[in-house]
Amino acid sequence: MTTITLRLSDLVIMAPECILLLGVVVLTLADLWMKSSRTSIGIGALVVLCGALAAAVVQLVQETDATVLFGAYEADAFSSLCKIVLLLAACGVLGIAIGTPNETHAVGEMYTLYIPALMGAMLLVSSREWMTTYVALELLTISTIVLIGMRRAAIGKEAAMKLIVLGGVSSAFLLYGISFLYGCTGTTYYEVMASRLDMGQDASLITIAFVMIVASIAVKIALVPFHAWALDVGAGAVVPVAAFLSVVSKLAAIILLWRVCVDVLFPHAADVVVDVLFVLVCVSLVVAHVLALRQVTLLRLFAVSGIAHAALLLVPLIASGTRPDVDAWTIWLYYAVAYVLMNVGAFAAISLTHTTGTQPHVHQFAGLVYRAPWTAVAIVCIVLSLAGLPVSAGFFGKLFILLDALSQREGTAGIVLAALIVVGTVISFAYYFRIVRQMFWRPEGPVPPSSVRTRWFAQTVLWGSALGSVALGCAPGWLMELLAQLIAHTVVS
Amino acid sequence: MHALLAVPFLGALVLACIPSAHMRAVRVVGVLWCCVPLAVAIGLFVQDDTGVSYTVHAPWIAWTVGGTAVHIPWHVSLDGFSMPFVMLAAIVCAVSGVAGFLLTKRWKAFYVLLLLLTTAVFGVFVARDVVLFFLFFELTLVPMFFLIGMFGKYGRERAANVFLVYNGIGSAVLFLAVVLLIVHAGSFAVVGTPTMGNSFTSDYAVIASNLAAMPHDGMHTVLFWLFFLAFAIKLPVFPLHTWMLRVHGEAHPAIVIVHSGVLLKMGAFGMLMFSFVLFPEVLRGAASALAVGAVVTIVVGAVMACAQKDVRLVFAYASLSHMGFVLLGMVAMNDNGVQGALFQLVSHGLISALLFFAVAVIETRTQTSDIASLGGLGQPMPFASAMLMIGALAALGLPGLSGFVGEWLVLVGAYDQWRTLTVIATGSVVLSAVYMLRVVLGIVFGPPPQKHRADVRTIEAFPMVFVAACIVVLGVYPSVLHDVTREATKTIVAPYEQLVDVGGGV
Amino acid sequence: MTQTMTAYVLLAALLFVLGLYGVLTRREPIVVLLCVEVMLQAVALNVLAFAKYGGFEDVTGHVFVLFILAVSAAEVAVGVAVFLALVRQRGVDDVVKLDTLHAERQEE
Repeated sequence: MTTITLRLSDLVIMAPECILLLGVVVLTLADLWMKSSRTSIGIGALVVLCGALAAAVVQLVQETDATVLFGAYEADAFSSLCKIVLLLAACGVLGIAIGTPNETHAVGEMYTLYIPALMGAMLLVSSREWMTTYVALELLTISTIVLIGMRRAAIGKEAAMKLIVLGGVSSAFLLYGISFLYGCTGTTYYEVMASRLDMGQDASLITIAFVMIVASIAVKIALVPFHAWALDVGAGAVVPVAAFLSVVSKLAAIILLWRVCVDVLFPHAADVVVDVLFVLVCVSLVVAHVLALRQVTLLRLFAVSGIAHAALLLVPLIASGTRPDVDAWTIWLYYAVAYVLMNVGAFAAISLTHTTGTQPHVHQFAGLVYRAPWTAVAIVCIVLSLAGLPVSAGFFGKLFILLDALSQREGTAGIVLAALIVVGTVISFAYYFRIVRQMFWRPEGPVPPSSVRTRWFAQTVLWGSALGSVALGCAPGWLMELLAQLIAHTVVS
Repeated sequence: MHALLAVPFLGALVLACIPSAHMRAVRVVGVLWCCVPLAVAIGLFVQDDTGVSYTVHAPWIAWTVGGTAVHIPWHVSLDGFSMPFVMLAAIVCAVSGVAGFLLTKRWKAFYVLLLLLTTAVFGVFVARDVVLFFLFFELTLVPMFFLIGMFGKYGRERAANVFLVYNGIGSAVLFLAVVLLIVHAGSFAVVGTPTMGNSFTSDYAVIASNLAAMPHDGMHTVLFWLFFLAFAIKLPVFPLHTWMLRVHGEAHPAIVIVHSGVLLKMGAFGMLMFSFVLFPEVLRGAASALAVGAVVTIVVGAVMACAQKDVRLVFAYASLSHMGFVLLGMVAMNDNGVQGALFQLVSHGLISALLFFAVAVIETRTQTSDIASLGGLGQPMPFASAMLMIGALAALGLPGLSGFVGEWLVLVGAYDQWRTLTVIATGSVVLSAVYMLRVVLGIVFGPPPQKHRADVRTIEAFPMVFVAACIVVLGVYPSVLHDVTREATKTIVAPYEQLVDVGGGV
Repeated sequence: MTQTMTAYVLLAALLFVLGLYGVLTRREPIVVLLCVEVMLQAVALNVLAFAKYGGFEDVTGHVFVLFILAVSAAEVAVGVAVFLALVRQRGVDDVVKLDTLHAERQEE
C-alpha cells in the first residue's frame, strides 16, 4: 500500500500550472478587496501568464522529463512546447481583451477567468490519465462558458447555454467510451490501459469505445459534421473570448486528440481510428471553406475558418496511418505556432476595428487604409498567412503539411488529402481577400479615426503576430530545426 | 547578383517611409528607383558577356531528424537562360515606373507595389530551387492584385478578382505539383548517413538529375500536366485566357505594361523550366497535341483581335496570339524553336511595353481607348503616333524589327515536325498585319480631332525612345540576344534531342 | 462478465440513450440540462458496475464516479446560473425559444 505524498519537488515539476493557480487566487482576492481598476487586473493576469511562460521555458531548457502523481501528470519536451504555445496564445488573447472596450457584466473576472481556463488546457496537455483529462477538460469548458455568459447582450447567455448542453453531451460520450475501456482493463492510466487492452477478446466493444472517444473530441474541435455549435457560440461571445475559443480551446482539444491517439488508440486500432479521422478531416476541409464563403459576420467567419485550420492540423496525425514520426510532430507544432500567430492577429484586427455594441461585420474594415495605413499593412500580413500565401508562416506550414502528407502515405489517401488542402486554399482566397478589398477599395466606415491607433494593447498584439508571421515566413528553418531537436527524444521514447 | 533582389525591395521600404503628403518626393524617388534595377541589370549583362553565370547556393531552410532530412536551399543563379528575362523585367519595370507618372493619385502605393513586384519577378527568374521559385511566383500575385484593383477603369475590381481566382487556381495546382515533385524526385543521400530515400531537397539541379536517372512512370505524366496547367493559365493558352483580357481591358496602362511585358513571360519561363525540360519523355508524346493547342491559340488570338473595338483588347488578343507562337516554339524543342521562343518572349515584352505606353499617353489626352472615337492623332501628336506605329510594325513581324526574328525562328523550328500547322500559323501572321494596321491607321490617320491634343512630354518620350531603340537593335542585330541564350538553349534541348535520336534509331 | 454486471451495463446503456433522446427532443433548457445529467449518471452507473463486478483490486472506478458527480454538479450550477440570467433579461416565455443566434444566421 503506497501512501500518497505530494512533495515540493513534484510541485516544481507542475510549476506552470501552480503559478497560474496561485496567480488566479491572488488576482481574485485583489479584485475583491482593492477595488482596483480594470486594466490593472488585466495587466496582473498578463504578469501571471508571463510567470507561467517563464516556468515552462525553464522546464524546456532543463529538459525536464518527469512524471508526478503516479504517472497521471507528465512534463516532457512536447508538453512544455505545447504549453508555451498555449501560453503565448493566451497572452495575445489577454492583450486583445485589455484593448477592447468592456461589453460584459464583469470587471476583473473578465481577465482572471482566462487563467483557470488556460490551466485546464495546460493540464490537458500533460495529463496521462483519464480522470485528470476529464477534470482538465471540464475546467477549460466551464471557465469558457462563464466567460461567454458574462456578455451583457442576451446572445452571450444563449451561446453559453448552447455550449453547456453541447459540452455536457460530448463529455458524456467521452466518459461512456472511457467507461468501457476501464471495464476492459481496470485502469485509467493511458500507458497501463494500452498495455492491457486486448483486441482479440473484446474487439467490437473497444472499437465502439474508440469511435465514441474520437467523436466526442471531434465535437470539441468542432470538426464537420459536429461544427454547428462553433458558429453560434463563436458569434455569441465577445471578441477576445471568441479568440480564446478559436485558438486556445481548439488547440487544447487537438493536442488531447493527438495524445490519446498516440498513447491509447493507435497501438490497438490505428486503421479504424485513422479511417474515421480521415473522413472527418476530408469533409471538414471542404465544408468549412464552402461555409465560410457565405459568412459576412466576422466571428462566424473565423469560427468556420478555424475549423478548416483545425482539420489541417490533424493531417500530420493521420498522414502516416500509424504512430506519427518526428517529422509529423515537428510539422504539427510548426503549424500550431503559425495558427496561433495568424488567428490571434486576426482577432486583434477585428477587435481594433470593431464598434462597441454591434456584431463584428466585414464592413468594419472599410477604408481602413485611409485612416490607419500601417494597421492595414499589418492586417494584410495576417491575411496572407491565413490564406497561405508567401511570405508568411501559414505558407510554410501548409507546404510542410503537404510534404508530409504526400511523402508518408503512398497511394491515393495522401493525394486526396493534398488535393483537398489545395482546393480549400483556393476557396479561402475568396473570403480572406474580402477583408483586403474592404480595407483598400471601399470608402471609410463608421468608426471614428482615433479609435484604431490609440488601442496600444491590441495594436501590440496585432503587430507582434504580423511580424511573427512574416519572420517565420522568411526564415522557417530555424524553428523547424529547434522543434525537431527538442522533441526528438520525446517521440522516440 | 543579390543586388538585383535587394535594390527594388529596399526601394519599396524607403518609399513606404516617405509620408504620402510629399507627393513630389514620392514620385521622383519612385521613378528614379525604378531605374536603378535596370542599371544593375545592365551592369550584370555587360560584365557577364561570356556566359559565366552568377550563382549563389547557400543553405536556407533545413532540418534533420533521425534519418530524415529536408533541405530547401537558397539557390539563385543568373545564367544564359534567365539573363534575357531579367533584362526584360528590368526594362519593363523601369518603363512602367515612368508610366506611373501618368497616374492621377496614390503614387506612393503604386511605386511601393511596383517595386515589390519587381523584386518578386526577378526572384522568379533567378530561382533555381523549386520552393523558392514557387514562393516568388506567389509573391507576384499579391502586389499585382492590388495594382489592378487600385488603378484603372470602372471594372478594375472585378478584373482584380478574376485575376486572383484564375491565378489562385493556377498557383494551387502549382503548389500541388511542386510538393509532388519534391516528394517524387527530391530524395538525396545525406552525407554521413547510409540510407537515402527519406531525405528531400527542393534543389532544381538535384531534382533534374534524379528525374533523368529515373525510369519513366505515370507520376511523370501527372506532374507534367499539372505544371503545364498551372503555367498555361499564366501564359495564357487558349481556353484559359479570359482573365487576361479583363486585366488588359480594365487596369491602368502602366500596370498592363508590367503585366503583359513580364508576368505572362513567367508562364513561359516556368513551363519551359518545369514541364518541358524535366519531363522530355512526356513532352515527346504530347508535343503534337500541344502544337495544335498552340496554333489554336495563335489563330483564335489573331481572329478575335480583328473583331475588337477597343485598342486595349486588340493588343490583348495580339498578346494571346504571340504567346501561342512562344508555346509553339517551346514544344518544338529544337535549337531554332527554343531560341525563337525566348526571342519572341523578349521582343513581345518590349513591344507591348511600347504599345501600352503609347496607349497610356493617348488615353491620358483623350480619356478613351475606343477605336471609333479615336482618329487623326497623327497631326497633333506626331511623336506618340510614330511610336505606336513602330510598335505595331514590330508586332506584325516586319523584318528589321524584333518581332520578325522571333516568329521566323519559331516557324523554322516547328516546320520540320508539323508542316500543316506551321503553314496555318504563318497565315495568322498575315492576319496580324490586318488587325494591327486597322487599329493603328485608324488612330493615326483620319480627320484630326476638334480639341487640342498635346504631344508627349520629355519624360514620356524618353522611355518610349529607349524601348523602340531596343526593338530596332534586336531586329537588326539579333546576336545581342542569341549569344546569351545559345549555350543555355543547347542544354535545354539536349535531353529531348537525345531522346528523339534514340527513338529514331529504334 | 457476470450476469449482474451485464444487467447493470444494459441499464446504463438504456439510461444513456434515454438521456440522449431527451436532449435531442426537448426544448426547455432545464429539462435538457436534466437529460444531460441522466447521461452522465448513466456513465457513473456503468463505471460503478465495472468497478464492483469487474474483479479489479483497486478503487479507481469508485473515485472516478466521485469525480464525475462533482464535475457534473459544477456544470449544472453554471448552467442554472446562465439560465436564470437569461430569464431575468428576457422573461420566461422567450427563453424556451432560444433562437436569436439561429435567427442571426438566417438573416445572412
